[in-house]
Amino acid sequence: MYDQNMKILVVDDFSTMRRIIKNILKEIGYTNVDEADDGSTALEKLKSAKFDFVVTDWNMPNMPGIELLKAIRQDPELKETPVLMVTAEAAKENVVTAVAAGVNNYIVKPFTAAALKERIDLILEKLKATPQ
Amino acid sequence: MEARNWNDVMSKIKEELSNLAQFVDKTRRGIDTLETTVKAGTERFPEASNQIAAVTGDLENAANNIMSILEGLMTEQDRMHAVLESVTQWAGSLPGGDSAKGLGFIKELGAIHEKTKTELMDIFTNMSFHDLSGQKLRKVISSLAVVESKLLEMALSFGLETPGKGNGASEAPPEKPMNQDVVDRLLKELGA
Repeated sequence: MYDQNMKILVVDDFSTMRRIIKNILKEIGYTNVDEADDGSTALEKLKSAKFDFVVTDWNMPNMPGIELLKAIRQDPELKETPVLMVTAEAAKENVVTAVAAGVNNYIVKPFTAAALKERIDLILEKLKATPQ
Repeated sequence: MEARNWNDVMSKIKEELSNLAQFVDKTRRGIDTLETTVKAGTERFPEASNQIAAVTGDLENAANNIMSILEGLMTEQDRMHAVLESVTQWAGSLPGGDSAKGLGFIKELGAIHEKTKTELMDIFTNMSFHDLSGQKLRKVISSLAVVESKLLEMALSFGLETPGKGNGASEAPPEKPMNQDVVDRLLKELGA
């Protein structure tokens, strides 16, 4: 189990999905969670406060998840932030695009609490193993 | 040319002209029908889009109401967990046989509690149906906007007065979805 107090930003335009992800995160031990309803709101939040992890949807108005990911990777202050893409867009092209843009992992909706935990643990394990 | 031949020619021309007149009349009626269809379409597609958007909103409200109930039940489950721990301590302090019997019941209650908690979480995760159906409905709205836009173009070519233009969202190309296992394999191949 990793730092249970890490601050996680959940980004999804559907309030129901944000609520589901927040509850799953709570269930697997992560309670320090904030939310945003699109990429641009998320980016503002990321720039104004320190977040340790981002869970984002792909399809969103204003700024989709893939654009948010690119913006994070281009910002010197944010570029190291782990990003998990949570999306219904499970086409090969989407996964390839997300990996090219620097996504840490990718989970397909609908998913279980165990699947989300597994991917978060995988990302954190890899980051721990990567020399800084 | 002989008179009989002229009569034949005139008769043929009359027949052709009559056929042509019938064709023109049929085409005109066809265009009238098409105009009516185009006009009805341009008026009804925005309404259909609005109705679908309203369904998405209704689904969201229903999903949020169900999740409020689930959150309440999950809070009660946490309280039950705390109570079971206290009862376990209390039962442990009872004399011999009573303690074993009490702990046996509590263990059973604990198993029921864990199963219920897991199932509540399963219901919660399945509430993502709203997000998934909502995204699909958005695609339907986009498709309707494309059809509406084409109808508007046709209406303009007929010189019809049309209601305001819709969203005009672009047509999304069909994509073949993959399951999580395939995504995981792909991520591994790509080194992510």
